[in-house]
Amino acid sequence: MIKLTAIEKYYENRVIKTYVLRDINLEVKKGEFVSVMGPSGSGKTTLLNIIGMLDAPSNGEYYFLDEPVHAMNEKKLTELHKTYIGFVFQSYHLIDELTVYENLETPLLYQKVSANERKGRVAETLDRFNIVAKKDLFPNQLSGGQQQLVAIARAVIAEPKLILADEPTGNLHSDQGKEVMELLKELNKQGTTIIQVTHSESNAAYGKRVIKLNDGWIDK
Amino acid sequence: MVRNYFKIAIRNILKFRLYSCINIIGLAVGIACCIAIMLFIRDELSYDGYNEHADQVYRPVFFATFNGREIRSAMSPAPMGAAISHDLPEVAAYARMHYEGSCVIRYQNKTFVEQKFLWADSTLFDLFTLPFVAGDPKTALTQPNTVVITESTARKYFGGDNPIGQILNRDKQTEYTVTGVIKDVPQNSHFHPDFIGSLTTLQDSRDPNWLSNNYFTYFLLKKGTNPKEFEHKINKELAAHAGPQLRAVTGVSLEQFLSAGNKVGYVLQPLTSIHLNSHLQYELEQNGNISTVYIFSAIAVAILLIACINFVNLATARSEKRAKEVGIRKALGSPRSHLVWQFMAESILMSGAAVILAVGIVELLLPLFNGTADKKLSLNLLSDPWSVPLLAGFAIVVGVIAGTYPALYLSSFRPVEVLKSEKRRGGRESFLRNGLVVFQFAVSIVLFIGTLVSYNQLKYVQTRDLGFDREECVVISRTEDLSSRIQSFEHELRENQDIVSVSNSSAVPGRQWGDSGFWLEGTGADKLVDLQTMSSDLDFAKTYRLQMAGGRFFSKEHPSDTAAVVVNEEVARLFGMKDIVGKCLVLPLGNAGNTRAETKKLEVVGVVKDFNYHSLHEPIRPLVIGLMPDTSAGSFVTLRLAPGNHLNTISFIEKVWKEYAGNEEFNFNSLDNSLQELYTADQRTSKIAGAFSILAIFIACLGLMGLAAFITERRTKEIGIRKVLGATVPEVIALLTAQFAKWVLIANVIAWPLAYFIMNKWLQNFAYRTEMSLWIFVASGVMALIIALLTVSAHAVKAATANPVESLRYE
Ligand SMILES: Nc1ncnc2c1ncn2[C@@H]1O[C@H](COP(=O)(O)OP(=O)(O)OP(=O)(O)O)[C@@H](O)[C@H]1O
Ligand SMILES: [Mg+2]
Repeated sequence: MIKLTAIEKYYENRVIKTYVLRDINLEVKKGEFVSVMGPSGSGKTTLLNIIGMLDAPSNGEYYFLDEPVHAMNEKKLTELHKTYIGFVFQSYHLIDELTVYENLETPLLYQKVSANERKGRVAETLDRFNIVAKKDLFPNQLSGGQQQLVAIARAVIAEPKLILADEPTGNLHSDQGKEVMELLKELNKQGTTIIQVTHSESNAAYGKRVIKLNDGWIDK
Repeated sequence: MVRNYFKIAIRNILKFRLYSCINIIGLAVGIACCIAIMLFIRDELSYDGYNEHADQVYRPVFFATFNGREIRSAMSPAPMGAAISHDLPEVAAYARMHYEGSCVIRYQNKTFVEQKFLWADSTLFDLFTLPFVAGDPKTALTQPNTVVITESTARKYFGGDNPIGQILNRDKQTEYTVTGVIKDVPQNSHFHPDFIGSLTTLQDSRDPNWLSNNYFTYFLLKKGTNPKEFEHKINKELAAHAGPQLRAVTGVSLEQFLSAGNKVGYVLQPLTSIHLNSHLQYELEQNGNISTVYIFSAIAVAILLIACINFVNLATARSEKRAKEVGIRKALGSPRSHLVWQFMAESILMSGAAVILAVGIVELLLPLFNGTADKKLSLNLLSDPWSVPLLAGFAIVVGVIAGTYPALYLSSFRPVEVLKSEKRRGGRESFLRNGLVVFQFAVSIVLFIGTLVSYNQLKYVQTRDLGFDREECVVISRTEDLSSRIQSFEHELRENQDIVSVSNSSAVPGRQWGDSGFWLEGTGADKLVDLQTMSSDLDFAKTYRLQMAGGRFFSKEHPSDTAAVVVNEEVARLFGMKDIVGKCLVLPLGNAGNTRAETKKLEVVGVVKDFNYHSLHEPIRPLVIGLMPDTSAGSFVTLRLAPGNHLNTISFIEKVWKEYAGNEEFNFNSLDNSLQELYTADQRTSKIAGAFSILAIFIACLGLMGLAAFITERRTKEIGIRKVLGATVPEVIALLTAQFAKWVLIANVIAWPLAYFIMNKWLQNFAYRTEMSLWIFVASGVMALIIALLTVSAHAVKAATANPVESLRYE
């Protein structure tokens, strides 16, 4: 499903070139559950962003379902991204102006899901994540953990083929964290490909494969 | 989806109230100005368009140059209409009009002074769409001594009685039978008669003289006629008809006359362009001015731009607040086009709200605007089926203009960039934003300067030394009916010791003066020049306190003065003579019927210093003053009063008037007042432009206020740190206001030359003008600076005095 060859990412200013990712070669098959680990600043989020097509690599090739992502225009990228990928941000990134309900509904709107089905799916997801009571609240009226739950719910609601989760349980109580991991595992069983970034060994264990990043390099 | 856009748009509008208010109020005021100005312009452009054949009606006007001096008159000769329509097949119909100033109309015991009595050919109604309420347009004016009146006039004289067949008396001389009643002439017409007498009543209308222009002629041309060719043909006709007459009257042939460098011809004016483009001598009424239309259009565009710029600036300034939303939406799969539409929806929603508010403002303030502009404009929201769709269209257009750039800008954010750090946006685009603010202020300053310059100029024209003493003078009009009794009337007035001087004349400064062709004795008719003419009694110079440049004014000691004239310096200059006293002017008396050239010789006995007897828009024209014969009276009596309270004197004058004129209306005005009236149109334009420039700067300041709010908000942390490090409140305020001050200063640099250029053009309207002094520019700049700083300082002070611990807590 995903094939990265010789991916590099660097930031440059007038003085220096800072490498964040170096020579990343990575293949993720359909249905895999991969955990990415590594110290802070090692480039995990950057890697996830590149896979999620939110960021472009500085060098290298990226094939998604055998299509060359590195050669696509923005329109095509958006199209691909929105049909296949659900993203959970490290810092949640809910839309402040929308209620929980509307935040969940938004990806469905972009995929032109009919109003009736939207209603059903949102209701179901609210239920699944146990946040029905919060549906009319705005993000700033939620705790950090609750916001994270909503962010995860929003990523899975459109039933993407690939879920990219950046520390999805960082702010959750360990029981809740476990529930979320179970949910991801369940989705994975049903065929969803999952790549998660985590600092916790136990969460990483849910994955079938662990990739260790260090200073931009993949540990062999 | 669309619902979703609007929902978010509404929430955003409500959430950022200050921002939304600034945008909506700014846009609303801008749009309200635009609507008012558009109504005004639409009205100005609609003049005479109500006539069914408006696009086929043309008026020939007289353009001539006699010895280098241009003459442009709206009138043409009496026989022209008939001759041209007889000779040229293009003419479907023609009609002439004639006007002779005010008159007194009597009906039974009712007496009114009427200003709008015109005579016209019976064909008038074939050219102009003036619907009849009673009577037959075909025959109404075919007989002598018939008159068609308007509905209001009918009501005024006859109340509810049937006006048809009633007899009106004009100036106790002629009786007119009412044969028709027309609807009141629309306001957007270049003439507004209350009475239209039949032209055949006037003997003079059958005068075959092609050499004097006393009639307004209108041609209805057949469809498809090329007006340029027709104009050409008219001028050929002119040569054929006027040539022989010229030779008969002056002894000079037209060819000789023209080869001496003179020019004579008629220019064809389309009916619909008369109101805005015709500014000739002897217009039927004072016309509007195309430059007013241009000035107002420019102001409308400028104000709307300023309001739209607010929108752009505030939207991009607060983009960091929206950037996150954009990033997330994109990460969730929103294509850029959706985001563009979402932001467009927001701006269209705001401009929609602004239009609704604007309509309210216009409804509320239109009476005020009408009062100032002397118009009867209305929005006709309900009765005009077009107004609502037009306004909706306007809202969309404004929304798109204001929203496009912000929408494109905001939707261009790349998700990773904006999601990673929330505090990086906004700074980058500040070049554009600063530029736009500078532009807004530059425009406002130009408007300010324009207002001050025009105010200054109008003050100047009202106080300039005109070459005569305008103070303490009153003028009685319509005195010509006193005829030979004028002497004893004046005599009785002179008895009063509060009346310093009395003079009877055929014209007074500020009114229409006559003109006539003359040449200097010793030269010939090919050296004809057109001079303004008037006649006065012996006391004119004394009453007006005219200065003599040479010779003397008329006097009792010289009985031969009946054949003498006094001229102004301009005449001497025109003939290129240092000393013209003692020379003679020759006045052709020719009547075209005569075969013999008949002339009158007039000796120049004095030269008065030039004085401005017309408005200061015009240069002083060469003037010939003749002596009024004892037996007749001019239309005006001017009285110079002793300084002090005039009330008693005025009632004394009125008493004497009653003795002599019976129950004729006592028409009097102070000279100064009637001179001020020459500039009402200018004052009107200047007042309106002034009001709009205040609004423009108001809108610009609204934007500045919003910008200041955002900028200070963004710098809250910086301010907190600076204060912790020991910065004082004034230092912080200075820090925050400095950049705004810089913008306004740059705006001045741009505005000054621009304003100078524009106002210099405007001042060309006046033959006499003030200097644009530097202080006007400095004052405008300083004013803009002070207003801007006051606007900004509210936020700056708030930010500067805030507790730093508070502002640093969030981060
Ligand atoms: N715009 C940028 N300019 C320069 N360097 C950047 C930029 N964005 C990220 N970096 C650098 O890239 C590196 C990797 O960042 P990244 O967010 O991928 O780390 P991470 O592994 O996700 O860390 P964490 O576990 O703390 O989330 C960091 O050292 C960061 O400083
Ligand atoms: Mg990270």
